[in-house]
Amino acid sequence: MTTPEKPMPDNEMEKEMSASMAPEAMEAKNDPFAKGRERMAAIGGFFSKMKEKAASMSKRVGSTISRVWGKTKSASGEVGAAIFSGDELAKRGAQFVGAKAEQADAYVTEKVDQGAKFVADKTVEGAKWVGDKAEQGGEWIGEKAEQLGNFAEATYEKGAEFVSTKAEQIKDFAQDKVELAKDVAFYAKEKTAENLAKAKAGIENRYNKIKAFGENAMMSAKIEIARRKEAYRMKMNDIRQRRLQAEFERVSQAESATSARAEELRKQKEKLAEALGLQNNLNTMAA
Amino acid sequence: MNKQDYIAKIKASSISDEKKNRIIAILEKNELDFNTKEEIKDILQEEIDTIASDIAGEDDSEISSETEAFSGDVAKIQAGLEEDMAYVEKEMDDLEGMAKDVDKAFEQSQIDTLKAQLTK
Repeated sequence: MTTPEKPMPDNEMEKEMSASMAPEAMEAKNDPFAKGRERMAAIGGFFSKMKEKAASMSKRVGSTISRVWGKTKSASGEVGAAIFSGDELAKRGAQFVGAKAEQADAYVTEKVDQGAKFVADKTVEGAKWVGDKAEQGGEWIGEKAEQLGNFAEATYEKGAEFVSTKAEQIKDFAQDKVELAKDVAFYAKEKTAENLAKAKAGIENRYNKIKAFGENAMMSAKIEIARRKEAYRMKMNDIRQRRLQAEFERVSQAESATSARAEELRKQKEKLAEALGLQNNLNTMAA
Repeated sequence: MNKQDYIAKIKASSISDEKKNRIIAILEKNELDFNTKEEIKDILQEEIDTIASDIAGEDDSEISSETEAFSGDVAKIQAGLEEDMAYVEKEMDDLEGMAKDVDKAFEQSQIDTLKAQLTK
C-alpha cells in the first residue's frame, strides 16, 4: 500500500517554482511595473491583428468587385448594345415568337417581382439599421467626446474629427445603403447599360467609404490608446523617479553622497531625466 | 526642434547604442507623424524600464491600481474598435453581396440576349 503524497505547502511550492523559473521570469515576477509593461506590449499585437483582418477583408471584397467589374467591362464594350431590359426582351419575345411571348412575359413579371421584393427587403432592413445605428452612434459619440476632452490637439485632430462625425457618417452610410440596394435591384429588373453603370459606381463609392471608415476607426482607437498610454507612462515614470530619489537620499544619509552606490544612483537619475526629456520632446515637435 | 535636431540629440544621449540605432533608423525611414512618435516613445520607455528597476518601493498598491485602471480603459477602447470593425465587416459583406447580385443580373442579361437572338 502506498502512502498518499502529502500536498506541498504553499511556500514550498513557491520555492520550487522559483527555482525552476527562468531569470527573466523571476525578474518580471519581482518587478511591480512588469504587468503594465506586458499590457502595453500587447497593444501592438492587437492592432496588428485588427489591421491584418481589415486588410484581408478589403482585399476579399475588392477582389470580388474587380472580378465582376472586369467581366462587365469587357462585355459591355462589345455587346453593350445587346444588353436588353426586361421590357425589351418581352417586346421582342411577343413580336417574334407568339408561343415564347407568354414565357417571356412570365419571366419579366417574375423578375419585376423579384426586384420589387429585393427593394422592399433591403429598404426595411436599411431603415431598421438606420434607427439602430443612429441610436448607437448617439450614445457612442457622447461617450467618446467626453473621453477625448481636451485631447483634440493638432496631432490628434484626425481622430477627434472622426469621433465627432462618426454618428453622421453612420447615418449617411445607412441612407446610401438603401439607395444602393435600390440601384442594384433596379438593374436586376431593367438590365440597361445605364443602370449597370449606376449600380457599379454606387458599389465602388461605398467600398471606398467603408474602407476609409475602418481606417479612421483604427486611427481613432490608436489615438485614444496613445493618450491613455501617455497618462499611464507618466504616472509610472513619476513613481519610478520618486523611488529613485528616495533611494538616493537614503543611501546619501546612510553612507555618503559620494559613496559608490550614491554615485551610481545619481547617474541613474540623470539617465532617467534624459530619457524622459527625449520622450517629452516628441510631444512638442511638429510633424 | 526639427527631426534632424532630434536625431542629433538622440545620438549625443546616453541611451544604449542598440536603442539609438533603432530610433535613428525609424526617424530616417519615416515622417515624424503620430505613429512614428508612438514607436519612438515605446523604445524610450523600454530604456526607462531598465533604469532603477532593482529599487523596490515600500508600497506597490499605487502601481497595481493604476495598472488595473489602465488595462480596463485599454480593454474598453479595444472593444469599441472591435465593434467598429465588426460593423465594417458586416457592411463589406453586404456590399460583396450586392456586387454578386450585379454579377448575377449581368449574367442573366447575357442569357437573355442569347435567348432573344435564338428566338429571332
